[in-house]
Amino acid sequence: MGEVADIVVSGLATIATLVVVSAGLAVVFGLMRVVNMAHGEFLMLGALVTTTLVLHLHVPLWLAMACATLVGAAVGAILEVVLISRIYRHRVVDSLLITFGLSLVMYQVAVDVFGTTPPGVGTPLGAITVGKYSFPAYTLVLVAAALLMLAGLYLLFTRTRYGLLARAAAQNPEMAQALGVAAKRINLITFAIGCALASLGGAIMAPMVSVSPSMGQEFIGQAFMAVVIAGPAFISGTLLSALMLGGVSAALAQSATALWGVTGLFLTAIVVLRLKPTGISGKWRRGL
Amino acid sequence: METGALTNVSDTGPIAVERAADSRPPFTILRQRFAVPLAIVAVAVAVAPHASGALALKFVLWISFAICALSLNFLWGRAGIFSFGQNALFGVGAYTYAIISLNVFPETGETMTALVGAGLVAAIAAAALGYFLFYARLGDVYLSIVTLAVTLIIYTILASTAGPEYRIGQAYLGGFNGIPSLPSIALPRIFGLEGEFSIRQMLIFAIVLAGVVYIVLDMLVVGRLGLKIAGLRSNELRMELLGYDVRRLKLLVFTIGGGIAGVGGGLFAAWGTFVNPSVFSLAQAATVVVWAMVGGRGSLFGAFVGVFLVQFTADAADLVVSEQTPLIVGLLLIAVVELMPDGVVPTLARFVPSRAAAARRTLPTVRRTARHGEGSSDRPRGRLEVDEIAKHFGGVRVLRDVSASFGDGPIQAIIGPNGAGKSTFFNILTGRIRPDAGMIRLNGSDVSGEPPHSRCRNGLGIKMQVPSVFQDLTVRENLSLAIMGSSTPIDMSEALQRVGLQNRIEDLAGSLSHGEQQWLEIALVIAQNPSVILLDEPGAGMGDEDKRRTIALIHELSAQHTLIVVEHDMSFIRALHAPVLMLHQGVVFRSGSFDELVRDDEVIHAYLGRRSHATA
Amino acid sequence: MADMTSVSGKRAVVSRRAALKLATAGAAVLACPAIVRAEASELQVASLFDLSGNLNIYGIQEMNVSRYAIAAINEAGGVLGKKVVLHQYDTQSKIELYSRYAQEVGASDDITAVVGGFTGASREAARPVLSRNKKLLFFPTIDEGGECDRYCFMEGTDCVQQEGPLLDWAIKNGGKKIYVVAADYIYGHVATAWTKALATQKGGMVVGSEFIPLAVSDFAATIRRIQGAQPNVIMSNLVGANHVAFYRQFAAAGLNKSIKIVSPVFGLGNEPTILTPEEGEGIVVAYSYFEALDNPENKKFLEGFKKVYPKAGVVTDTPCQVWNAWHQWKTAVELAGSTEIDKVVVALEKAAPFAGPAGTVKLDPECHRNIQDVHLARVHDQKYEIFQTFNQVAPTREVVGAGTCDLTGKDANSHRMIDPKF
Repeated sequence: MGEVADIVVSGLATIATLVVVSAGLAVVFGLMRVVNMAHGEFLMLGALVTTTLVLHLHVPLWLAMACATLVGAAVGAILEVVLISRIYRHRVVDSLLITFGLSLVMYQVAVDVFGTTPPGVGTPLGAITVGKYSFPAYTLVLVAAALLMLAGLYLLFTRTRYGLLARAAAQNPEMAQALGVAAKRINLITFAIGCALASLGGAIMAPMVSVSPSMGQEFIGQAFMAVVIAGPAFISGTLLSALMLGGVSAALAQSATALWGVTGLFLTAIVVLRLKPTGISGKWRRGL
Repeated sequence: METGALTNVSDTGPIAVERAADSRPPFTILRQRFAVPLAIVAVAVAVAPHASGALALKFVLWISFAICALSLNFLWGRAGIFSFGQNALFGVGAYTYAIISLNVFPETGETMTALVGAGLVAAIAAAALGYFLFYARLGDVYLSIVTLAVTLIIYTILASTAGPEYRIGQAYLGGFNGIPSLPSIALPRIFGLEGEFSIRQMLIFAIVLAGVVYIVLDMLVVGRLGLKIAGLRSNELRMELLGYDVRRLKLLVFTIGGGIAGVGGGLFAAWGTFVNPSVFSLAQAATVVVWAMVGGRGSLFGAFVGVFLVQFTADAADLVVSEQTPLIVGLLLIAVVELMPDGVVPTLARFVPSRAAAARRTLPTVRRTARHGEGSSDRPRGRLEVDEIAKHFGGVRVLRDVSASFGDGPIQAIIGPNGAGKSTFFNILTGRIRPDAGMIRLNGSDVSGEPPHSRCRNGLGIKMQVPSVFQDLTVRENLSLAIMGSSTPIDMSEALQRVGLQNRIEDLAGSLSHGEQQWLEIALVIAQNPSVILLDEPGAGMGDEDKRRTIALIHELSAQHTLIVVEHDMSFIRALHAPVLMLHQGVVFRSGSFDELVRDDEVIHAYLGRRSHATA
Repeated sequence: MADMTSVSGKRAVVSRRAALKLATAGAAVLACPAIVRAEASELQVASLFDLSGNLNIYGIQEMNVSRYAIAAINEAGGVLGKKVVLHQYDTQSKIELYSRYAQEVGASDDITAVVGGFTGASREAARPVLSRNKKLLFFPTIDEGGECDRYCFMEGTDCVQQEGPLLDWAIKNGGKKIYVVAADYIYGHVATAWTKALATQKGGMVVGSEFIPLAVSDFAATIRRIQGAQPNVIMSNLVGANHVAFYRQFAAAGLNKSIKIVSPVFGLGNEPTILTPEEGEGIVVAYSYFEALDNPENKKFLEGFKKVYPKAGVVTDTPCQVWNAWHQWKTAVELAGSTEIDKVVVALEKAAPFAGPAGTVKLDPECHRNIQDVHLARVHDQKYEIFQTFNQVAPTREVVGAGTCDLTGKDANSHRMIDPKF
């Protein structure tokens, strides 16, 4: 009984991790068709800001996470104005390359400021025991956070004016502009939201993993796979792809070895793309 | 056009300044074209023995990288295939070299088999991967992501082969630690040079190898394959409609690229006498792309420039400001993308006087001149028949039961109001969409299951509504592709004369006006000499004068081809003097002459939604 | 303090020459062919460490100590009366750079000895090249054994020297059931084989073992399997920044209260400061050097070092071994009267013990490893508390399942690493 609970919870944790680290990338890629290779570095930024605030300024953990999110939004906004906005009309691959250059710069700056292995924060909230198995209570927080993120995104993009405009601009940029939508401002907000989500994701992960400037690299591969196979409906598609990839990965890691877990994720992504070349939600009628 | 849409957006950057045909004998052209590369190789080989050991080492490494970058420039810049995981094939080559050399060198004392093996195995791996990629019809971005996923998978798996059970013959895979103690370059004994090369000898070997690879690629790019590749990059859809199996073409290109990357990988392994999984990492994948971007991905020579520039910067940066290499390389990349998005070599080439550019002439690509109107006047009129075609999308039944027979008369027009299913019907005729039920017969054979390129090879010519030609190729090159793609083509000048474009033969297709591009497309279709020609709104976007010329052209063509014209413009249809088939709500609503239909109240009701008392 | 400017970067010299050649095009090259020879009154040596990249927390300190050691040697009169010049190579945490710089060093006529490397992978990239070119390599980090190369000397402790004491303590104070988690690369596999062999010898039992790829940071499945196996002790051979997450997740599940953790690799970096005090509390490690060691050499060493590098952080076992390496080299060269490699090797094998900050180290000539003290320490409040000392623990000459290495006898001309069989 305890074992089953443990397996289920850690499976959910893997899926939730995937959601939390991919949400920002899904927004930016889904709405703007920009491949943000620096997404991992924004994750890292959120995590580092969180741990720094907690350890050096003794800010409570939850508040530190909120601050980290705002910092991510601010940095993302600045970078969008200075760098990214110039290349929207370029080829998709240019956004990939410029953000890759950006990721190198951000990595090095982080190393210069924080060193390669800064101290971390412990996992709060203790452990929950079921039978002879126990798991961190924080895992449940992680799962809740993933659900809240998706719900929040859904509400944002269906109930707010910004959300409606952003989706319109994504589907038909020329038409939207002709109708007076200020595309530049929308893009700026969207990119900032994407970076904020990435930083939030990193902040949420910080108490569970080892925080270092290179942590972004570890998550970027999986985040990419999740987002790309999600397809055009970036919220529900990402949820589904996280379920699929995370589920397979967790199942393999639990039943076989950690190596199979990692490999299984990539293999599943390839198989899904083979069967559905435009992504899981490629042929869906829903927009989100 | 949506930027970055997941359709085949071709990256239209000019790759050749000018491609004029040449009447000089091929050997002279070859000599002139390769004089410069050969001279560079000769000078480099002469200088090499005097280089210091450290410098020679550095250059061998850079050359191995450059060969990898060359393969990506070829794939991406020339064929438009953006492989984000080209380093995976480089790595496959490196590991293959390691495995073969460890097993073979103790016996034979040479590592050429290992190097050749590296190229071959990488080519085979590329073929397997390419089959998966291209026959699944993945779009641009997805393709790059899948290639990235593949390299990450290989990295993950290889990094975990540390146990002693992971070995191939004498070579232990070594997991994350990699495979050390590899023999470096050694020629077979018959060449008289015993043992492994010294550093300077390796440099000479590397220079010659790079020169050979470059020249081979350049020859490919300049010849007929090169033209097909350029067409592929320029307008993949049009290539399909000219009868080329683009998947096979992409597979061929990808395999060649893979083999070249593999050779680079083999040289890399020989240089380092060591391989490890980091060659498959995300960082390495991105670095290869950076090399191609910086040098200029359309330029083969740019591969060398890109590698040398980026690596030099990385090394120099480390000396100036130690330990900040990622920062400096990152800034370099950002600067290049913002300021010189085409890469260094193409940007600089714009400043080079056009005489030098003009010296890069192509070999004549079409040696065979088809006989005039070969057989077309004796062949029976082309026929296209459809039986009970039905198609639905989701819950909507767009076509319910369409049956028709084209070929009794020379021209047949198809009309219908919005939502009648015209576009869907057209796409089913061309083969871009499969019907849910029904059959299509072209000249008597069932083509219902065949893709467009195969129908086009068998006598179907297709002209799209939006002119679909090769914008960055000349008119001559456009037609060369059409002629090469058909088994019964007509003469190029005849095709051009029919549409009146013979004076524009050396101009870039993109420089033609909208109407002229429509005619160019018709010329492409005619050049292939199909028995049935489908025209989708041939008058679209034209002024009255151009429309008249088009109508005259259609009548002219109807002497030898069966034409099926889908149109909106009623005056255009009237001037065709042809039987009209009207689609409405997914079925054949009426068929008859134009005058009959125009007086039919039901027809007017279908178009306008109400009864009309006036006549046309 | 010594003249720190005596240390030069050879690469700077090379690249200046390279720039010169590039600038004056092919013809001018013919005028300056040969490598400029360094003056014969100086001895040239090199260090290859990761000063940038993920592993730089280890590499920077190693290079600091390397510079400090050479400076100290020069201040005391140099070697054979000559000044020693240290060429420093930054391998940027990239293993291929170890191979490349090893080739450069190998091609150099003047450099005779190298102290370098951190991971076994980096050593294996450099060693064959250096060995082939007859350059000495001293490797400072703890490792899994198997090295059997005449020109290679292993300063760090091996599995037996560390895991022996650790397992003794663990079985007595924790219990017999041991679960092994190891990084999935060669060190991890070999160390685990040793754990199984040693545990059985000492009356313990390995109830499970896992290999975790270096990129993984999600240990939920591992922790579940641990809970299923209910061990008394975890033997951890996890390596790298991602694997530190194991200790965090282990503590988050509350397991650190009931299960003891011992590790021969924990603490090679600054893991105690990365983890919170609660997460690191009670982890037991075994090294031959800790800053807290109380002997006069260590006092002098630390005082001098902290003066030159006040912000450098804690000196761990590996950097101390760098110090040992250079001093053992110096002793041997002076004994041999020359830097000629075969003479120095003979001298190293015969040399008297060296008294350093970690106590006395004496080379065991058959396996080219040091007999040295090993101390057990536990992590408390992010610092180490030494609680038990084993004096002059001998290294092993055995390779798991593959016989022994005898560099004075049958393997006197061997230049290889023996692969274990398990």
